[in-house]
Amino acid sequence: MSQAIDDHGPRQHPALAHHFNDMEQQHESLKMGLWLFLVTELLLFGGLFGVYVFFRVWHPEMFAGASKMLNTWLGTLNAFVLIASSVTVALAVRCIRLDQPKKTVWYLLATIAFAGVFMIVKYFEYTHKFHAGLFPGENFNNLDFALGKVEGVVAPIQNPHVFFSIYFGMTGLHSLHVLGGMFFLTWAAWRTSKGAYSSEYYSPVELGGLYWHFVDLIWIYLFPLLYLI
Amino acid sequence: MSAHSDKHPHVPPARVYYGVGAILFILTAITVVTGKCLQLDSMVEEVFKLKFTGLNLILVMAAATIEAVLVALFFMNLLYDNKMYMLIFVGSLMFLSFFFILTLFDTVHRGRVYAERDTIWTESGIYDKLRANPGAVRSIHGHDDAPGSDAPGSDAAHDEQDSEAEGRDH
Repeated sequence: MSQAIDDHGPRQHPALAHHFNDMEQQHESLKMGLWLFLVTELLLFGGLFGVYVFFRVWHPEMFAGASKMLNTWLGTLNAFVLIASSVTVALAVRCIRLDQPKKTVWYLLATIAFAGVFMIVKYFEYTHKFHAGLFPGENFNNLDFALGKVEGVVAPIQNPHVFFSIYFGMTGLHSLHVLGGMFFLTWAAWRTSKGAYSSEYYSPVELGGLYWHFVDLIWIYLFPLLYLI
Repeated sequence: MSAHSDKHPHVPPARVYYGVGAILFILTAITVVTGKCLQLDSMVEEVFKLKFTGLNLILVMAAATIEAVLVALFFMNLLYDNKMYMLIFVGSLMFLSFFFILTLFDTVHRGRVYAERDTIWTESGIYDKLRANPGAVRSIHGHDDAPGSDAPGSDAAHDEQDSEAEGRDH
């Protein structure tokens, strides 16, 4: 079959694997594989969202009090930064589909830069938490709740460390995903700058973009759940 | 090559992405203002004389869901793409919601089951076997005390209930 296309069809793209008929079939298969991977990611985060929901149902007052220790403005900044990075990566995919690799590289670099801002903000948030003794689990070492020194929290809160276990677990895993996305997009930008991709073959750029949008999706829910309500 | 033989199938203009991004920014801003500055429950009660609880939660989650739908449809291209991807994604979301709903049914209403446990013990036929063979109670509940006098709804059952309730607080 493939031999027949070799002989009679147009010139084959070098990126076409031998077990696919044509570039379109290969691209669709790759994309379906990535969507299935995103589904497993969804189940991974779904389990953690489950932990959040069930503990919150059991101890709503503990969640309401402990979340007051998070910095809403840094969280908001990160939400805006991630949305902006989603726009730029979507534009990167659009440009490579229109055979504009130079613009694609710039949009990918912008995305990576936004991701870097996200990680830097997270670094400041985490170090602030560590200095305040807001550790997850048994390392929790903050007396403000017991002494009633937290602004807006009247009654003493029991077990605020549970909230911080969930906070660090979920934002930590999400940040690892941001880092992973940064590495992949860096590789995709480098390959694009080498002229590896065009409107004929741009699967890695689009797959990286899909993954990046998924990371943004998680933050869209994580941010209000942890910081706002 | 079939219907997609044109060179750039379904490449939306850049303004679509800018527009969606702007809507996402606005929705995020609304979410922050609602979550931090407004008390919707008391506002609605003052203006409309209606008692609600959790309006902030509902509005914030609704805004987040609109954002997620926009990202999935336009940024992740589900609107224009092969509908198989939509099926995979929405299908997994559906099963995830089963997980949440069924588990919530259990965990939210378990207190009521505890309260009715005595009735359940006396009324459900499955426990007749246990009553006929008291030794089996030990293997099910792991009680240390002798199960011979362990009638349904006795103190032992309550003890176990208490210790479970404590365990949850940790």
